[in-house]
Amino acid sequence: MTQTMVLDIKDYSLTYQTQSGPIRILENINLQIAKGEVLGLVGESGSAKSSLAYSVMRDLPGQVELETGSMWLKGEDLMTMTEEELMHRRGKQISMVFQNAATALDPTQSLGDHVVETLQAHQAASKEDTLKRVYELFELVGLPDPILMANKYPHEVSGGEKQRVVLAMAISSNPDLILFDEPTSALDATTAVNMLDLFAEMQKKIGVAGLFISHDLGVVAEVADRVAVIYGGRIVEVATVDDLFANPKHPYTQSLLASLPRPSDIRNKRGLKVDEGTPPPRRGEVPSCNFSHRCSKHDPAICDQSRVFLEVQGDRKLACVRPDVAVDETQASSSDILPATTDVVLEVKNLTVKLGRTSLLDELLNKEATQVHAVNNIDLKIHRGETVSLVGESGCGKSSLARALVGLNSFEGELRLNGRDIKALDEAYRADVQIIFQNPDSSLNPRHTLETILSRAIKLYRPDIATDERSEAIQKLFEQVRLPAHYRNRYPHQLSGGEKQRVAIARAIAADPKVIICDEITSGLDAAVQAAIVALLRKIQQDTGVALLFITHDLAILRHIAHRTAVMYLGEIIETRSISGLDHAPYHPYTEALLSSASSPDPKTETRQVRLKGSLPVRTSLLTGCGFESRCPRRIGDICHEQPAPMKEVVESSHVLKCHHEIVDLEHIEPVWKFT
Amino acid sequence: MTVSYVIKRLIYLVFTALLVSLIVFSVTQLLPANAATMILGEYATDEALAILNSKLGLDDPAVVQYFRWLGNVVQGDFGISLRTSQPVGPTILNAFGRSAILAITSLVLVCIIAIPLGVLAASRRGKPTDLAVSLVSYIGVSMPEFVLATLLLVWLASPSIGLFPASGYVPFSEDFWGALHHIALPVLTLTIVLTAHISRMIRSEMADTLEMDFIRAGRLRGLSRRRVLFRHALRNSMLPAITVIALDVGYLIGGVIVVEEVFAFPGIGRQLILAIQNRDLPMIQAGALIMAASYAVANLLADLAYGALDKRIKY
Amino acid sequence: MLFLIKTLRALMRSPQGAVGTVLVFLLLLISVFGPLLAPQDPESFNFGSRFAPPSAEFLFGTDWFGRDLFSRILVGARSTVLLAILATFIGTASGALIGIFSGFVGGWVDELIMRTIDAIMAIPGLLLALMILTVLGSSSLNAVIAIGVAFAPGMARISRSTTLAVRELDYVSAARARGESKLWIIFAEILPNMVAPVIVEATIRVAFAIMTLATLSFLGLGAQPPSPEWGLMIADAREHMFRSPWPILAPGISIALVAIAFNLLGDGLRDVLNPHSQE
Repeated sequence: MTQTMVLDIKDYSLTYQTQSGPIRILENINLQIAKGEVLGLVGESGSAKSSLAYSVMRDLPGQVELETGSMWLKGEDLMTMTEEELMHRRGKQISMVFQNAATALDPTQSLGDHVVETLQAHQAASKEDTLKRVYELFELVGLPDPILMANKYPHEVSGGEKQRVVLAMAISSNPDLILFDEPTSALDATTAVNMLDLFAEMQKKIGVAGLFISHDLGVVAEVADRVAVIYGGRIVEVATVDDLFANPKHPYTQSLLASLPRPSDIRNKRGLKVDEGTPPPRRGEVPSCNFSHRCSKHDPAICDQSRVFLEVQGDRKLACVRPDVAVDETQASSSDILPATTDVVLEVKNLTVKLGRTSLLDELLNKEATQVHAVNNIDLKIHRGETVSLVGESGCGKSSLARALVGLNSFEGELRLNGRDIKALDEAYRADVQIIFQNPDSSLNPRHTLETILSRAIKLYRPDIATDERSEAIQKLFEQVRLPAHYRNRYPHQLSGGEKQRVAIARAIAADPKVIICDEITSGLDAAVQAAIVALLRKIQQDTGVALLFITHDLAILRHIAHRTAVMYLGEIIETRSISGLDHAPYHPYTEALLSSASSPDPKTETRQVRLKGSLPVRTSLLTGCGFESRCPRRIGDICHEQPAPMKEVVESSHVLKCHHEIVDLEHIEPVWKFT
Repeated sequence: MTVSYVIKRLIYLVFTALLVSLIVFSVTQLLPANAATMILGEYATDEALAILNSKLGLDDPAVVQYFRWLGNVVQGDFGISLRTSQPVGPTILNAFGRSAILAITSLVLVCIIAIPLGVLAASRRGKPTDLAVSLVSYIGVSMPEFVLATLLLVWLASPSIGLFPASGYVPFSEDFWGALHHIALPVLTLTIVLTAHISRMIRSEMADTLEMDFIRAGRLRGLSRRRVLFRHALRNSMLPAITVIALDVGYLIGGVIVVEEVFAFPGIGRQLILAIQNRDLPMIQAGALIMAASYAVANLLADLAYGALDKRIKY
Repeated sequence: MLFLIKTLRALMRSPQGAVGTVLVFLLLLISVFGPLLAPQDPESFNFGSRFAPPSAEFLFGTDWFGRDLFSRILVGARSTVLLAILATFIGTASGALIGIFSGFVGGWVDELIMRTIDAIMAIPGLLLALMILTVLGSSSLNAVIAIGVAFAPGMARISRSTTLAVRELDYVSAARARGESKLWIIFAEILPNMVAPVIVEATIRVAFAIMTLATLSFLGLGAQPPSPEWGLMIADAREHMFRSPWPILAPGISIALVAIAFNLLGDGLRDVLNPHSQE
């Protein structure tokens, strides 16, 4: 058996030494990858999934305290090799595709030279042959015009193109194994699906084995044959994709799957499981099972008898001694969202945001002003108790809009709050419209305690609360966002990512606002934490009737929070529709592609493939035609280029889209999802 | 790099030069004694002072004086030295030429020595080589030029040893070896101090670059250590290094002033100190202006080199 | 306070931080209590033992008047080290305020301030100090002012770029969106997050200040005789340099040692206060 394995990791453990003592990174890892097979490795942040990849590459960044076990690459033990021997295998037999192609490429080297030097490091060939091979590889990874591309530098091409170059390097020497370390997480959804398609196609063509690491089960489901689930440095379950999704056995896998949204959730009225567990212990005593501290069926008499190892159980490998005991499922939140009212709270008309300033000297030199039209003439209404989601890829202007609404970007156009015309953002408006930023690490001042952070908001917005009552008010806020009261003297860095975001939410609701703008507040969080934050926001909305503008690039979560969604492209809202009708045509062609690119961890849902070419153009001058025209798969013809697309009503005022196509034609398009 | 970038940089240079000239002029205007007093001495009669003042144009408004001075400077006329009554221009330019020999020789030597040293230290991080280089450069950056120069004098130029002359200057055109002999110690001082500075900077730039993802990515593509170090790490560290070296030219100019004083080398620095001691206004103005201008030009050159090398810069 | 202890503990963990901390601590003690510690009167002449090499009686030897060099160094520490710290403080405080203000206000005010600072920085530091001293006249205190003024533009540039970086962070955006006053944003949101880089820079600059102060005195523009200022001691000793190296070595090594101490402490602080190294 061992002979046929490309990679065979046997009982591998790694411990690093740190200033505060040894820390266990990986424990008793056993994994095999056969020729031509893709193994997915899934885990939340901090599960050490990337560490495993770097261990296989024999490139350990930390100070190794203890390293045991063995790693066999086609029958050779990588762990006993010298640096010299490893050098000849890296990039040749075993290569890597990195998470962030932007930083994996040398900014001073042309793309072609990157591949050339990789080829030259492993085989002697004439310059012409090498170059020919580079062009071949570029063509293979779908880079149009390879010769032109080879002469470009990393900063001159898009993120997707960079990732293709990294892939070209990885496959250049026909390796036996490629390690993919979150290769699509830094890319936009529509670019990421193209990459995934490419990986699958490459895999078919050259039959290389792969280890595909991701935090996103849906992505792994698309490319992997088998999936290994890693939790806290231990593999807890290994099964085929179908078995794992249809019938997860390990309580952690079950919990992970239960907290992931699926396209079928509205039909099936499925809620998300809220289980924001603490990470497993990495120091001190070795627990028998490292999930036991948050496992609902943990029974000390059975589970803590001896170390629970990964063992074959039926059709899979599992690290659980009580797999047949059912888990308590009551933690799942309900899928119902309370209906919104019809009172308009916030309304914008013809809102435009221009970004970029010019220096005095540039003006004197008569340089063209490089202002970007980040948001262009948009209309939007939000009702009391309603959540409107604003979706779009990075650079579409959704954050610029958010920042304009709270006075961080200047804008032109009309803005009304509760029917009151807002000319300049006054104190009352600022209190009523709050914002929560994407990254709580940067939105909470690291030098302020939570108490300072919250009391500041109360002091500014709630003159009705007397100074001596503030402490009580802070207490109440902590309860509302479910944080323990003794946290009030802590600093942000002493909290976990989810907890920090709760503090940011508490700061926003301190003002008792009418509208909260949530700018990508769940991206970067693990699925379980995301589900918890969404549940919290819904609870707050239920209690206070606050309206939410929920900005996200992740379409999957919409079904669990939003009433309506507005889709943005190139600074324009190209479609507004209700979430309940999300599964049915008609779609704007861009919405269609966007929905199709959301990965689905649901084997019972089939997603129709709609792919976009190219990347988002930068908008410096106003286009005459439709903004999406350059990438649209359903482009009609010159009309798209010459005339702006008209806004058309599908259902009066609740579903509008901007397209030259007739609504009837769009209605005949097949749905994006087929549910079985 | 585009033409407009070069133009933009040139405009900045002119702007900077104007401001510097303004600062230099204002400083000399603030001096308690004016030129007339300097020329006629403390006991001159008020009448004589008034006549000279109006002759020199010193009773004009400061703005008028500034533009007159600036206009003359642009034409190369720096005025007459109050100390020697000779035109300042030729004196200062001669001195500048001699100082430039010191500065440029040192700078070239520094680049040859400091860059490999910094690379070596960064690539052997934490190892004995690194520690040795770091230790030596710590001492180097902590040693003011005048201390090092004086110590070198004591050790290498004392009459009992007499390896080098203790002071003075011989033109290269007259006696090549003698000239070399005379500039050896000043250049050595400047080179040691500056090498310490620059090798430290290069080491830290390199160390930062070596932490970058593309270095790891290169290693994991199976590239050799050498290639990763020189093609990727060094190439990327050179850009910030250029800026650092240009900034250190300012430090070098300070060093030149001190070293010329210690070795009695007749350069622009010594002229300046002499002028300050004698309150020789036109000479102070000329010396300061020329030094500042050469620093500004060094920075301009660095910026242009940066713009030409860095593919990411687009203006 | 807790933060101070934590920083100190972290500093002591790295060899350079530990050496720097201990050295700087000793130096400060000497600067304050130097005159009390001096075994002999620094100004008393011992013509019997001129140019004496180091011995039990004269730890660092004696000079041309037979004055005890060790005592002179101890007494001179005050006028070198404390004045250098004062100069750095003047430069750092004024520079940081200008930098924060400029970075925070932005726009043409920022452009004007920064262009002016560029121009001032186009004058090499020592030259600028010389020019200021030309106006003010030679004295220790004027040298301190000159160094402070010469340091301010560099400090302003660093604090401005830090301010710009901090300003873009979401917690400042949050404060602006909240409608906080400018004073609160500068002093409560931005300033506390800039202290670390500014302290690191200031510590390293103390080393520079010491060297520059000594250089100015050496050039005759700082401390005036018979002050036992270290740079001046070397300048005076040059006349007799071929008789005995000790009157030059003793202050020379002292200056270098003090500069090394502050450089080490600064580098140690940089590592400790770097947010990336904090777990």
